[in-house]
Amino acid sequence: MAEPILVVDVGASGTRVALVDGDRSGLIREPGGATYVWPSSVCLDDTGYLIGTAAERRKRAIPRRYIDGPRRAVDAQASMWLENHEVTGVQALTAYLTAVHLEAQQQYGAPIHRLTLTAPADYLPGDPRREVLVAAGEAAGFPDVELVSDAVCTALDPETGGGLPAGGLVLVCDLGATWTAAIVRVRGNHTTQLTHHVSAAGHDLDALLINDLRSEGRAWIEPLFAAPGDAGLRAYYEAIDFTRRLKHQLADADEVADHLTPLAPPYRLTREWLAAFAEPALRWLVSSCMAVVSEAGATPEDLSAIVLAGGGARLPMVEPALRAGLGHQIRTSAEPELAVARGAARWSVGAVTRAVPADRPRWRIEPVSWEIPGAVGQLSRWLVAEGHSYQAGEVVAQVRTPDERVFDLIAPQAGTLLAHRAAAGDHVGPVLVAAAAKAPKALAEQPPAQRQRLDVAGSWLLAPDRQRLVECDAAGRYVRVRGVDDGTVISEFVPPPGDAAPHGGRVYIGPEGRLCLVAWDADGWISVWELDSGTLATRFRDPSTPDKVLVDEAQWRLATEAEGKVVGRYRRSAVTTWDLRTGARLEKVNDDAWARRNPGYAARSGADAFAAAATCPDGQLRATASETADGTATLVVHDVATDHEVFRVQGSPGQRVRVGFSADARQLLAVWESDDRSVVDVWDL
Amino acid sequence: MSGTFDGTAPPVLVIDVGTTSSSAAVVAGDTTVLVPEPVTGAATWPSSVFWDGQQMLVGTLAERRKRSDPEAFDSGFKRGLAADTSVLLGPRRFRPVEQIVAIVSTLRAEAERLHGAPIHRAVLTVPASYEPDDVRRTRMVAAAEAAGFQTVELLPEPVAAAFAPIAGAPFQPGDLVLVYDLGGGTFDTALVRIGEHWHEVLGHAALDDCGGHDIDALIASRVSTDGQQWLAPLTSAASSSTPATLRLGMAVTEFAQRVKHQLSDAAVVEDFLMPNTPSYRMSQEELSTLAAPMLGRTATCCTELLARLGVAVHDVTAALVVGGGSRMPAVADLLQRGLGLPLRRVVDPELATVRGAARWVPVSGPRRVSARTSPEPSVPLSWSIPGGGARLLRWLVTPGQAYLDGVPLARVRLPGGAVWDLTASSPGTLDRLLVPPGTDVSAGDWLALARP
Repeated sequence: MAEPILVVDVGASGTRVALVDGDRSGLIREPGGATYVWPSSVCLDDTGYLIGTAAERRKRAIPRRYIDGPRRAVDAQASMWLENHEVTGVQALTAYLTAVHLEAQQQYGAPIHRLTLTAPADYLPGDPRREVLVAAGEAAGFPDVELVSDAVCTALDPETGGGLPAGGLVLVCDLGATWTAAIVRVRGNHTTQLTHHVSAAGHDLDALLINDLRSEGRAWIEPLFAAPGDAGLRAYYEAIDFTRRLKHQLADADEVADHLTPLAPPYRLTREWLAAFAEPALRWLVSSCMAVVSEAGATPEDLSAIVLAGGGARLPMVEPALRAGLGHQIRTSAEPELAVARGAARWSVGAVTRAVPADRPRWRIEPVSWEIPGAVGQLSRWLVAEGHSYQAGEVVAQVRTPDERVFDLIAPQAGTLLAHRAAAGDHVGPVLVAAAAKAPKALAEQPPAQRQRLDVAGSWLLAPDRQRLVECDAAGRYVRVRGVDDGTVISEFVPPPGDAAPHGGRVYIGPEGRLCLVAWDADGWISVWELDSGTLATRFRDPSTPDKVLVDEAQWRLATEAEGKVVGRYRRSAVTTWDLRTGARLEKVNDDAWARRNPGYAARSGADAFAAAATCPDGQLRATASETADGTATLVVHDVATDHEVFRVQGSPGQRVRVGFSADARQLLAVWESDDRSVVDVWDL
Repeated sequence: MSGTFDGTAPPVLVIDVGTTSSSAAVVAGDTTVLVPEPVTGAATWPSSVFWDGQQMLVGTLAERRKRSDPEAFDSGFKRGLAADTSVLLGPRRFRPVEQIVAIVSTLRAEAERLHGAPIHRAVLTVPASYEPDDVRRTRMVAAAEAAGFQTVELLPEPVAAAFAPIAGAPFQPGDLVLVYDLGGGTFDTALVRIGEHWHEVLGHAALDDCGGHDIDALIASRVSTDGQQWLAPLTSAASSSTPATLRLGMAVTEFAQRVKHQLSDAAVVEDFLMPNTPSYRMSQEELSTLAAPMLGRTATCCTELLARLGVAVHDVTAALVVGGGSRMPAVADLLQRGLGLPLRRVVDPELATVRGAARWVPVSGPRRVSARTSPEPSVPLSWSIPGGGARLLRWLVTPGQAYLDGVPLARVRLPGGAVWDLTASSPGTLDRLLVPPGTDVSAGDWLALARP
């Protein structure tokens, strides 16, 4: 199912290309060159566009029809002139991508329809230049064009991005022709760029070097530049290449010297000189790094990694300056100029995982749809308001077609309109859809989909907010708080092990609505844990090792019941009450009527939203726990408006049932309890 | 409320609000009844209003009062609908759209009185020059809604005119008809292709300063020149007060109109501006000479339209002559000689538009669309798009195609540029697409309907 994806990182001076096929990815070499870096050059000769090394080769012959960097035109949103031809950024980029596309297909041997294009960090969403990138990709023959930020790609570079925690912050320093400092939050498919600063520092450094060359070699270079016709321009391009070459050589030499032409005197460049030239750019870089970190609301200590990438990462003075400025280890790879392309390839390998499953359709809603005559129209008005019912044959809405006829949209049968889903004045067509309530008969025929069944040897509680389900082990060994919608565990609490074996546990709603676990062990120690904070609220001991524990949530008191002394023929049980705030013992009574006189004490929470009957928050359904003639617990759901039964589920013998609805009215829940187990069923409504 | 046009159909009021005169007809089932002007009994109403300080008088009532207080009177305001800047009527300002509301309200009240029951639906005819996005269309609808109609449709005037009953054989589908509409205030021409339920407007052109009233003005200025001797003392007597000057002007214009109307079927007319002024004479021939330059412009307008559309004159089936101004005998001569087109006429040319619109109402088809019903349940497809919104790039399955759980159904691009697939969460068959590619969609929007 996975489709091949071409990954292209068009830089201002160099372009990197990778191909992703399934879970494999690899960089593609340029046919004319030996490296993975394709020159970002375009040359327009009489046969059409040449790109990359082919363009570089022609630039000496036709320097006026050569331009380095089609992306610069996109960046500047300006046109370029190739001799007498005006070429827009989108045209130049399209020509470039078309050639790359052809070459990649040739190497791959099959069509490639999908493109991942890296976008400079300062092309934020809404920037028209993003549209230019997409348009160029589409014009180059890719129906699907994905854009991903350079900074995000750098953070995802597998060579430097290992071992990052989910949600970790990465400071990216990408030093190409443009220098970028950006903060990226790494979180799989949701990895995002938070803040960024960019500067033309790389470009400026090259300009400084050219200026130095010009002043050093003034005597011989100016006549070359001033040569008439194409010769002067040719010399200028040669000089740019020359200084770049020297700059790169300084990565592993302290001093380099070379001749621009065989006849020219040598030009020398030392690492010291380069450091002096680069000094302003480095100052910018360190201060921008600090700025992007603080703009992201973080401190350097919060960073999971600092990644240095781009050709500029090879400048020997950059890494030490960053390390000194930020007090952090710097991650950089052996080929820093390939970092963006490798990261983009990794992003593209994950394309199949960037999928959203369809929402589960609502049980009680069905679409009502009308074909708009002539397929287009403007919604004039709704004649039935949301939440109102309509009769068969009633006009629900009116639509005006472009020829100014006004059509009545008629309801074929009676129903209730739940949501319009289009507003008066909206352009609609070819179909107008509204959400209607399903008739009780249809509901009864199509039962709601069961979302899940959760089982515990213990008890369940539906929190009063009806958004959380609380699962409690019968012995109080753990408590899990789950989301009502999908049952995922939001938090888990496991009390630290005590000396004695855990004996029992239940969750109650304590003061200020806090969820609390009341657990007791075989030695009679009773512990009260606050679940949100995981702290022990109180702990006390009933040495009589109670066999029954009851809690009065309103007074926040606990009662233990232990087998008392035998008095005559009777065994009278002893009840001890405790204050759960302090753990203090309040009183001890031997009284058969105690339970009757103290109805607030119960074995399970009275604030539990599971109950014998519940009404859906939207007021449309009522669920009740009932029994069949033979005493089997049954859940029955009625449509409130019509009082028709729309759904029924029967439990097993020996089970008791309680019911509830989620706060958003999207789920129906039932808890089936027997002596040792407790099962929750969740249905989508 | 229902919109069918069978025997039980609710009534529809068809209204032609013209620059200088308006007309309306009640269409109920198979019958069409023109709404007469209550004062004159004529089928056309002057498009005139007069603010009497408490209410807006419309039609002949307004015409009658204009001499008493010319500054509270207005007509021809339909021309100002595009700018919709207010004008002063006596002490109060009114926008053209409000003046149109007054006309339509009066027509509706009279029509309901005639029909004996409320009328909720209206069809207003509008010039072909009101293009689909023209604000004047919206203003016409708004005016009719303000006048109390629940449902308002618009119909281009040349389309309506070509539906009007004509003398002789009716037009056949496919015929090309040049509608020549010389109204009171403007000249409009349009080339329409005849269809069964709808006529297609292939092109249109208009002259805003060529109407019957402009001919009236020519006659009036001729009267002023010829009768200078006896008019001069009157003019100098009136010049002492503004209302008197306006009144004298109105009197001359009305006199010119009277002369023109009489010349429709008399070779020579002799009439008097006032009982004490000398007689004034004019012949059909003189009128033709006077109107010739203006009529020549209308002919040029027609030939230019045909040339612009690349249609040869011999491909045009006929010219349909409508509008009150076309009653002048000179018009027929000009069209036959100048354009070389066979002429088709209607009985009352000023009523062609309203009569045609009334005939269009039953032939234009029912206005009821019933919701689709299907024995199989239909479920809407929506997705929780990350970040809340995205642009739909394309659909990956087509309607009628079955799919399995987990299969990508559509592809979207998030604002940040990432491409995501929208997948099925249960097997089904795609039924209808609700959103075309290129649309910005939001999480939870219904994008398609499916059958589980």
